[in-house]
Parts: sequence; C-alpha cells; structure tokens
Amino acid sequence: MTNATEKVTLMRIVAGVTGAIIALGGVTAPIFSHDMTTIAVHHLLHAGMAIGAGLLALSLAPPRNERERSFWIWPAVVAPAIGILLMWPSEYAYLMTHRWLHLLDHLSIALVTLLAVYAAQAYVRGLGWFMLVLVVAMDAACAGGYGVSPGPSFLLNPVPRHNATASSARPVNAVKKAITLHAIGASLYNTMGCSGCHSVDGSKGVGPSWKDLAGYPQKLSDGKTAIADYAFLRTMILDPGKIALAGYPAGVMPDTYKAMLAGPKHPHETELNAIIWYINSLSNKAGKASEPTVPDQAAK
Amino acid sequence: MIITSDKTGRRVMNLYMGTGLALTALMMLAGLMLRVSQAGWMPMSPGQFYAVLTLHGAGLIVALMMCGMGGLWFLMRRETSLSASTAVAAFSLVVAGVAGVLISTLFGGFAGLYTFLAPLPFHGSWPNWSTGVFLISMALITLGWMAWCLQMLGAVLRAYGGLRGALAWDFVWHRQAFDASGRTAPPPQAFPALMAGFDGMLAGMSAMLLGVALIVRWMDTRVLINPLWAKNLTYFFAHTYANLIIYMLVALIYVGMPYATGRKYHTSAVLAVGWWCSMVLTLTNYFHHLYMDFVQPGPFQYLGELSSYLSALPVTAVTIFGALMLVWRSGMKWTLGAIFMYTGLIGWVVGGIGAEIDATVPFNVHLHNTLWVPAHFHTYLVGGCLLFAIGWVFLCVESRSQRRTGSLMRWLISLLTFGGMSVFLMGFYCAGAYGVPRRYSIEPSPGPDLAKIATIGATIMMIGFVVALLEGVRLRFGYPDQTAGGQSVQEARA
Repeated sequence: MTNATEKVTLMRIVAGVTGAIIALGGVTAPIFSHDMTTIAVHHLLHAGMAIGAGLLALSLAPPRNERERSFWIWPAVVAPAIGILLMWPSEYAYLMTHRWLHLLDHLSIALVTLLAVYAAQAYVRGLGWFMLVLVVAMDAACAGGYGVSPGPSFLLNPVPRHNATASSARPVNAVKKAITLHAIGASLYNTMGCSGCHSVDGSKGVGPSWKDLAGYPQKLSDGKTAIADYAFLRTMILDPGKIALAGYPAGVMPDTYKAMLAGPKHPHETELNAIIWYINSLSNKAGKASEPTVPDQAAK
Repeated sequence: MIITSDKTGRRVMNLYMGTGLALTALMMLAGLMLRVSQAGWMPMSPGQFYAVLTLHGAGLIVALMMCGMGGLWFLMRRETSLSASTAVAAFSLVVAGVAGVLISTLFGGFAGLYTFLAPLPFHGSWPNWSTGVFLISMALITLGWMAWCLQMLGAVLRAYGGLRGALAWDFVWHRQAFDASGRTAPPPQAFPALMAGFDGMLAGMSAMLLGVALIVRWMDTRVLINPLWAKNLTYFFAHTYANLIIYMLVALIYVGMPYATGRKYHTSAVLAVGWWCSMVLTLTNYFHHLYMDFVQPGPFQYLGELSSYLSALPVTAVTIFGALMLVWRSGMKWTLGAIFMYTGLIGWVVGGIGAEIDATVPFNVHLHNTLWVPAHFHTYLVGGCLLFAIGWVFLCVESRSQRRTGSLMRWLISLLTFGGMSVFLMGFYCAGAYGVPRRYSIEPSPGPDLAKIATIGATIMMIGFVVALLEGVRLRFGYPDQTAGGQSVQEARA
C-alpha cells in the first residue's frame, strides 16, 4: 500500500468516526434533552446532524469509481426531498412529547442524508461532497422560513403547539393566555414581515416603532391627534389606508394583512389579537382600551 | 460532424427535442389566446385567463428546457458514456409533471401563476385539489431535472478528470505543464454541461425544498411559509432555470456554428474563465426580481445589480463575439439552420439588453411591473432559445438530406418568422414603456391596442414557423436510403 493510499484510508476512517459520532449525537439527542428551542433552531440542529451522516456516508462509499452507475442517481435526488418531508414543522410539538418517535424521526433524517450522499458518491466519485453541501444547505435553509402558523395550531390544540416548542408544554390558564398570545404575536412580528418596517426598540423605520405605541396619542397627517387604542391599532393593521400618520407616507403599509388576519377564514382573529397583544406588551401606557378581547376559544 | 452514428443518442435527443418543440407550439397557441383576449377580440374570464397564463408560463419554460436537455445530453454522449435509460426516466418524470400542470390548470382552474409564489397558490378560488396536483407536478418536473443534472455533472467529472479538469483549471493557470502532459482541454460544449449540472443541481435543490414545503403547507394549514424566504427561493431557482435554458442551448451553437462555417470553436483561457464567471453570476443575479421588496436585506440588492451587469460580460465576450467571429468572412452558407442560429444570437443580445435595463434600479421601479419584463423574456426565450433549438434541428436535417431549401423559401420563412416576431415583441416593449401593467387580464389603455398589433405579429410569426415545419418535413424526406446506421452525408461520402 502506498503512502497516498494510506493517507486516504486514514482520512476516510477519521471522517467516518467523526461523522458517526456527530450523527449518533444528533439522533439520540431527543432522549437526553427535551427542552426544545425554536423550530428554526431545530432545523439547524438537523443540518448539523446531516453533516455527521454525510461524512459517514463519504467514508463508506466506494473509494474508486470511474464508470457511470446510473442507478444511484435516483436515491441521490429523491432522498433529500424525503428529508424535508421528515422536517414537517407542525409536527415538532407532537414529537416533543413523544421522544421515541422523535428519535425515530431523527434517525430517518440521518439515514436519508446518508443515502443521498452515499448514492451521489457511488454514482460518480466526488459528487458525494457536492451532495453533502447541498443537503446540509437545504436543511439549514429550512430555518429561514419553513415554520408553523401559530394561530391555527393554537386553536386546534388544547396545549398550544407553538408554546410547546417555545419552551415546554404547560397547562393553559387565564393568566398565561395573555403571555401566550404575546409570545405568538412576537413570533408573528418576525414571520409576517412586520419587522421589515416596524422596530420594537423605538428606532425610526419605514413605519412607526411599536415601542410605546399602544395607549399613546398619535399625530395624524391632518393635524389631529388620536389615541392608539384597540380600534386604532386594528384599523392600522387591517385598513392602513384609513388612517394617515404624520411623518409617514401614505400607501406604504400593505393592505394585504386584512385577508391574512381577518375575514371568514379568521373568524376569531387570533393572530391579529396576538399581534395587538404584542404591541401592548411593548408600551407602558397599555391598558384596557388598547388591549384586545381574548377570543372565546382561548377562554375555554 | 454534426450527427453521429449513435442511434440511441439520436433517439433520446429526438425524444426530448421533439416533445419540447411540440409543447412549445402548444404553449405558443396558449400565449396567442392570451394576447387575443387582452386585445378584446375574444375575451376570457379572469379565472380562465390566469389559468391559461399559468399553463403558458410553466409550460413554455419546461418545453424549452427539454430542448436544451436533449441537445446537450446528445452532445455530451459523444464525449462520454451516458445511460440512455436514465435520461428517458428523467424525461418521463418531466412529461408526467407537464401532464399534471395541464390537468391542474385546464381542468382544475389553478391560476397561482407559473411562479406559484407563496402564499398565492393557497388563496385562490380554484379547488384545493388543483393546487396539490400543480405542486406535485412541479416537484416531479424538478425530480426529472435534478436526475438529468446529476447525470450531466457526473458525465463531465468522469470525462475530464474531476472538477479541476472539467473547469480547465490547469489549462488556464498552468498552461505549459498542461500542454507538456499531453492533456487536452474540454471542448467548448463541456462548459455548458458543467454549468447546467452544477447550477442546475443548486437550483433544483432549492426548487425541491420550496416544493416540498409548499406541498406540506397544502396538506397542513398549520404550516407557515415565510413569504420573503419563499420569494427568494422561487426566484433563485426559476431565474436560474430560465438562464440555464439558453446556456444549455449555447452548446448547440458551439457545435452547430463550426459546422455551418467550417471553422472550429476552440477552447481558450478566455472561454473557460468566461464560463466560470457565468457559473457564479447566474446564481446571484436573480436579486433584481426583489428590488421592490423593501424587507430584502440591502446588500443583496447591490449584489443583484452588480451581478446582473457583470453576467452580460462573459456571454458577450465569449459566445456572441466568438460566434460572430466564426461567421465573419467564413463564406458560410445561409441555410435555414444557420439563419435560425445566427438570428437566435441577435434575440439573445436584444433580450439581454432589455433585462439589463430592467435590472437597473431607477428603471426597475418604473418597468418591473409592466409588460417590459415579458418583453425581455419573450425575446430571450422565443427570439433566442427557440431559434437555437430550431436552428439545431435544421442543421441536423440539412446535414443528412439530399434536398436543399431554395432562396425564395428561406426569404419567406425569415420574413414571416422574424418580421412577425419583431412586431409581436414590439407590442410588449411599447406597452412596457407606456407603463401597461403585466399579468392583467384586462389592460388599461394603450394595452388593448398594442395587444391587437402584437396578436397580428404573433400570428404571422406562427405562420412562419408552420412553413418552416413543412420545409423541415420536406427536407426530412430527402434522406438517402443507403446511409444505413444513421450516418451523415459527410460520413457516407467519406
């Protein structure tokens, strides 16, 4: 055996062992820790696990392959798609309470990653590395926007799934409902694009900051002043064309939120109320007048 | 030599290109219906209009993509062994996806547009099943595309000694050692193959990620897709796909134009570096589709403008200038194949300039939501990609046929096709310059008047294509009987 071959073999062993340790850690993580962070972080953890599985696959793949083995193309392209299916975000909350199922889910994600990378490498030597980068990038990219709509899940489940993934599943009571809605509103602030224009620290953006907005008087473009109560906030979100704030050009705020937050598809306006709760939580003048009514479903 | 004795290779190419061109014809008819409706001559209901628009857009992109896939696959099979069964399986997936798109739009009324930008597919008046069929169909097309890309990438890596060899890295940076070792640089058509495989896999993976996420969202309404995330993924893959179509078809130029001119297209350091640049810049210029999304991080917007401009340089310097130099004083015979290919270069340049204007921020604000954008991509796709594909088919047929196209027929086809096309495209450009919005079933003035002119132009163009088809069939029946095994005329003579 030549020195070069020995080096390659040694590198394969090191990569394989390292990969196996990382993958094993990721697969068994649900047994040791059940304190889930956000769904985005969970996606990133999967990407980390995929690195381990991919390295293991590269060490297992045939070292030399000069001819086309076209059969391997198919698992290489299908497996990553299955991996994304296994990262079904709305099921995370359920998996948090079923740790063995969670472990099985992680194992499946690791296996499909291993299959994708192995198959690419077995097809043509060198493609496995490319596939490893692609699969890890795909898993990590999920963190950017493949999440859960908090409103419907809150209505569908006695224990809010969003809350279960945000900290841990807790019984709902009257006091915590407000906290839950506030947390959902904070999440919606990021996922629905509000953060693009409205700051929460008082800094000026495209639109007014949400810091100290609720309960405070707001200057209108016609020179009048209006208190930012619940009705004001609701109108500003759903029908932004009806109120023109001084210092902010009209027509910039999209009027599409009405369809996304109210109407027949949102009879309880849970998401809208969550956002208004969140705005209230950022103001020291928030009060009964600016707070939304908790929906009937949440009161049960 | 333009055609080989590889019957299987030819059959696969014919399968892809024949289906692609037939589908293109069908989608052009759908497009004509849209313009007729906008002209007010045969108005469709908005629901019908947007469903046909969805079909037209998705179908035309996939149709021309199939032409590029077939042509490039055939050329690479001449360089290295490629499994025909894998290519046919990939083709079957794409065709199954196209069938699904037809069903979802024509029978299901799905009108979430060809970009199916989230959350639009879930907020329409069409039945829920048609959304699912459309999304699953797009996933099937993506699977077929990815299988083809992986095969192509594997082919260039195997044929030229890994990524370094396929990039011609040593040829560019260590030329003396490279020549001394007796190696030869990859032929020009290997670069489009590498780019299609590499960038195509990146685009395919992002399409698959978005596709699966949307399918999951379709099945489970609790799932939330971030709109900005979805838009970035959508334009990353869709813009890259659209760009790759012409880059794939450029491989046909690299083989077709030398055949027509009798000169060789050499691999040079400039050509290799140009293709490296194209490989990178094609992945980042899609940002110009998000200039108006004010929540998009600023640096991406600058990158979008920069890379949109830079991506024109390698194309101009390498392929277009190179092809013009091949033709210059070559004494090329202006057969129909050569005419279509050469005119395709013009269409590429004009469409590219239209794209560059739109990619300039101050113009983009005024033009991006107008018919200027369809103007540039119709020029690029119909005036560039389609002409390359038709030109290639004619070169192949002409190389084997004992018949020749008369001068009058060439003039007639050119006049009808390119004249009609110019009028059709000017309808779009003028409407865009006047600010007529795109994707409107009923356009404000002067949209309907310009749509009438465009419809007349499109009709003339399509008559030209029909005449060209008939001429192609006539040439096809002129194949010599004795050339068994599919040899070319040159081979037979040799």
